[in-house]
Amino acid sequence: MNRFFKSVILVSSLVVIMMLLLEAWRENLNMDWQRYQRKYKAELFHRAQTKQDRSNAGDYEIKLRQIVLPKLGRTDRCVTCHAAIEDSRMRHMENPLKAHPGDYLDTHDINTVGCTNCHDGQGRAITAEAAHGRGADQFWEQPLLKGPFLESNCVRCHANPLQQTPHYNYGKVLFQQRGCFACHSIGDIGGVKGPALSDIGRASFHTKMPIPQNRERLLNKFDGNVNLAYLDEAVTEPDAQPQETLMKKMDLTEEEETAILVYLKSLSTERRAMDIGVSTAQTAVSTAATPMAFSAKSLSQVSGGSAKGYIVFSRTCVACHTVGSGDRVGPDLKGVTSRRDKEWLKSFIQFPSKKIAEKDPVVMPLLEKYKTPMVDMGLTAEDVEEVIKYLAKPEDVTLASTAEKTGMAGGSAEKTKRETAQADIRKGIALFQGKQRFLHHGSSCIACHNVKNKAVFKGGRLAKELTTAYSRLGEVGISALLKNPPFPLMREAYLEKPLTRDEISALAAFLEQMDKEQRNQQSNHDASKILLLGMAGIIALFGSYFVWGLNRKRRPVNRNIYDRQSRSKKG
Amino acid sequence: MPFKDYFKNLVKFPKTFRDSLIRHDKPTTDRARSQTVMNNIFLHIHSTRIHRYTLKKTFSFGLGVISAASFFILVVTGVLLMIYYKPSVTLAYDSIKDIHFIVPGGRFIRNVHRWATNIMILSVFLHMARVFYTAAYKETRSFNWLIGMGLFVLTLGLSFTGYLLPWDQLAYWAITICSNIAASPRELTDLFGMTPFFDPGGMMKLLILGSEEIGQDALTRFFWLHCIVLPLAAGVLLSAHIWRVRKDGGLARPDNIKAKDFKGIPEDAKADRVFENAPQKTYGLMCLVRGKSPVVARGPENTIPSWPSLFVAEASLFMLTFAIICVLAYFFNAPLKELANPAVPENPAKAPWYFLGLQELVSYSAFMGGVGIPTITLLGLALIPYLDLEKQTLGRWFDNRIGRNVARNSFFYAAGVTLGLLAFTVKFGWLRNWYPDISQGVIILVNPGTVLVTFFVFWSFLCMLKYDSTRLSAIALFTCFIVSFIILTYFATVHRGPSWGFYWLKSQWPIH
Repeated sequence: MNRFFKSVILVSSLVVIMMLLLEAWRENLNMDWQRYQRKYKAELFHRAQTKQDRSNAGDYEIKLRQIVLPKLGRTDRCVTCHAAIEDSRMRHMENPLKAHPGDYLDTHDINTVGCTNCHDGQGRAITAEAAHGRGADQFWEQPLLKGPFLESNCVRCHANPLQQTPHYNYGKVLFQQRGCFACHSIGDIGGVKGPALSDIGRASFHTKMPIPQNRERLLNKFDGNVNLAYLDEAVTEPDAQPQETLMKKMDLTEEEETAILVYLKSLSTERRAMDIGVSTAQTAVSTAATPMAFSAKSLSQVSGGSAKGYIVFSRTCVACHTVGSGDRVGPDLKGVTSRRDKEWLKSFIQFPSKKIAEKDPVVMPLLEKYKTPMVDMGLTAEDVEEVIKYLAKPEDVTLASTAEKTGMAGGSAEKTKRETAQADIRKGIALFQGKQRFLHHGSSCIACHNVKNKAVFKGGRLAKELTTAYSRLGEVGISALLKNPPFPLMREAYLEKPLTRDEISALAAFLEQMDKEQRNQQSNHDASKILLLGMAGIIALFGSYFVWGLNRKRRPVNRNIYDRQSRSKKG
Repeated sequence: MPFKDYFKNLVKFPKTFRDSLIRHDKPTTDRARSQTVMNNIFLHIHSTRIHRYTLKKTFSFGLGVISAASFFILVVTGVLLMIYYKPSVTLAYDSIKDIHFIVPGGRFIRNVHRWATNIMILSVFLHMARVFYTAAYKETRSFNWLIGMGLFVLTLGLSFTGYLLPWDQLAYWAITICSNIAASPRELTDLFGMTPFFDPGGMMKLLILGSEEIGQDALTRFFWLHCIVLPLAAGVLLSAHIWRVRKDGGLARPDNIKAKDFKGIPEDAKADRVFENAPQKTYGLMCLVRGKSPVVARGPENTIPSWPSLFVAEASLFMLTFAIICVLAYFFNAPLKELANPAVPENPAKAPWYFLGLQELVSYSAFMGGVGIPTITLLGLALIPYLDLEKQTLGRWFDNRIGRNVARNSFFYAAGVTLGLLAFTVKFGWLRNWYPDISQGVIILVNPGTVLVTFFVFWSFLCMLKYDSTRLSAIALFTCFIVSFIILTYFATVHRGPSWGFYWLKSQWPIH
């Protein structure tokens, strides 16, 4: 018996020792990077011509190497295997000991840019399999990019168009030319019929993956990059998934296909200004990816009726007014031209403050009803004319890009149910509280505004409380208001420092969340809960005292002895 | 002469040091063996002599020792992991990656920690079944059964809290499931419309997560629970658990043990002998240890010194456990998915495998599956030793032939009922599919989970009537619960796919 157990101990101990040794060997002696670095060292010796070279080669240590970029949240250990990446003498070598091709490293200092910023891949890993992250068997954050697809990462830092990214530039143009915006949106621009593409370049392959029939073929085509494989399937075979799609099969040449894939791969909401001194001209935010032509709906796209009036309306008035969608901050303007005298309208729209100061008999009841006085929007007389023309016949205006009246054209509030992603809300919280600065250094909202929420600091009282702003103004109202603040003080504060599009959408998402939470919180009185709990606790405590008290002996245990003693004393 | 003495003492140092460390002879005599055990704070958790039945391999299967061994391994590897792990939402995930890729031995230690968890849960579960089926919870041991239940809950709690720490998708959504289970009493309070005034589910969720959603607060809380509170509690309870076994006279054993049960177990030739010359001075422990008084002037029957037999057996189990864990850890990496992302739900979001049986029940009714049935089960388990007070032989699997029959019949009954009900539910759906407007109250009361429980309770009462024995009816009920728990766990692990639909194979899962 003991022999049996002892032999179990022996065998198990041997197994344990073997496994520990195996792991130690694997980790310390059998890593590929060590082989590569030794090879590099041998190559250095081989090429050494002077004594100094030889001593330098002898000093080359076989060790883990990494580039740590705390600002970008990256740790790139790629240089552990790609040891010769900066050594221009190694241009003819095989990978991984090849020097970086081209002159990119001259302009992109590897110690400030790192590797994964441009190439993707898993920077922390030190095995080829995990670092390159190819294939769909295991999860990889960002599979390595190759060839033209690398261009899609240039926009991470470079806001201005680059000559070196022909595929990307072409893809961006194609995306507009082929009318993708008609159905797909990027940021807050584009149609709603198809899925939003703001973050498609970083989609997790748990949700976006080619169908099984295409999987292997496409993965091979894109060197195991699942994200690209999915994008390719979505572009070339739109009916693969879902099958009942509205999307037409595009007629794309191979070149066009690559270009559009590069562009799609570049779309990501996390595209942030990487402040590493690469791009001094303009820092890139998501607007960099959005074509400027679409950001402001220009005249060429709007036709019929008073196109200009529509544009003025959608830039200035829509923050407070709708046409036919009910009152917002100000009254619904449907049919306003028939209700009011034209001359009166003209003067009021151009200089509302004047009319208010005059205590105009039409304005005063409105002011009483809506509380917020209209401010001077700085419109020219011509603008006002156009707006009035538009308001008279809003249905005449059509949008060329979609060849149909979208929300704003008809005056109705755009019911774009934007996905308020959690990330957006979080960004909004940070922006609101000033934990994150606005890109153009506008002052943070909390300086003047307050929101009643546990998660947010108490803000200023200079301006209106914004807890319920979302239900008061709605999505469109908030965006328009932030884009172009009608309130004098706020307008002054942000005139030189406008908010960017994604900051606005983040703030809107944040305000929506605050509104929602405020509604849920009303019934949430922690104090009464504590009181209730305390009462219940007291009752339970006294109850248990009572129960234990019932079981208590009424007589001391030594009572008998005591009695006997006292009796015998007496006796 | 002090100078000479100095050198003499220096030369003698190895021997004097050894004598100061080990204050007895080599453990070759019975006396020295007893001293070995008694004079060592770690060894004296066992008594100096044990009954030979304790070492019967097919009696205990060493499950308790395996659990304790994995706990020990978990504590050591956990302490090591704590050096590199950073409990912060922004850093946790990367620190796990670093542990995996570049920390010396990090990958291996993390894998050992992961596999030891699985082995511990499995062995704790089997150990509980062993104790139940050998009736080792009876007589003086009833409270120790309760301590064991506490350890069971702590084991699950430890693995649950550890699950969140990597802060990856797997962790995030498993914890989401679990915190929703905690909030499931809302289902009941909503029904009575009193959630705004009294919301135990919400309070429980708030207590677990420390916030409305899973974030830094939850991570800090789980880290604190996982690294300080629960291990300490488990350590204390574990000591009490083992100490009580010793005070109860070692493992439970039958009164009449056949010779074949002792096959292969070492024997103490002197144990049966009458002591010829009694020692001058004796200390009896009869008044402290319950049970029948030993025969005077004779060595205790069928006992052997714990040293070396028991300790060798335990050491071998420890090493065996460690070896198995090492092999698994070398070849199979602990999973790590992408960084937790609240915006992209996992589908299916599955809890860790040992909670999947519960999750299957939760899919029918969150309150019943997540709170109701587990509470009933734990309460029922805890009450077993207080409700089943029949006098009987301890320490035999299923007691006797009737017990075996009952267990076997219950096994088939429970397997049939569970599989049948699962097949029915998958094929035809449940009340909600037939009457979409049905009140949630009806679903809470009548869902596959409660139907199963009803079937089992009914069966157990049937057994009680038939055999007129609480022990046999307890065996019936316990078997039913265990069998259906295992089947449900298997079913939810293998056959549940996206949106909790039924799939024969994982390869049939749709992509979205």
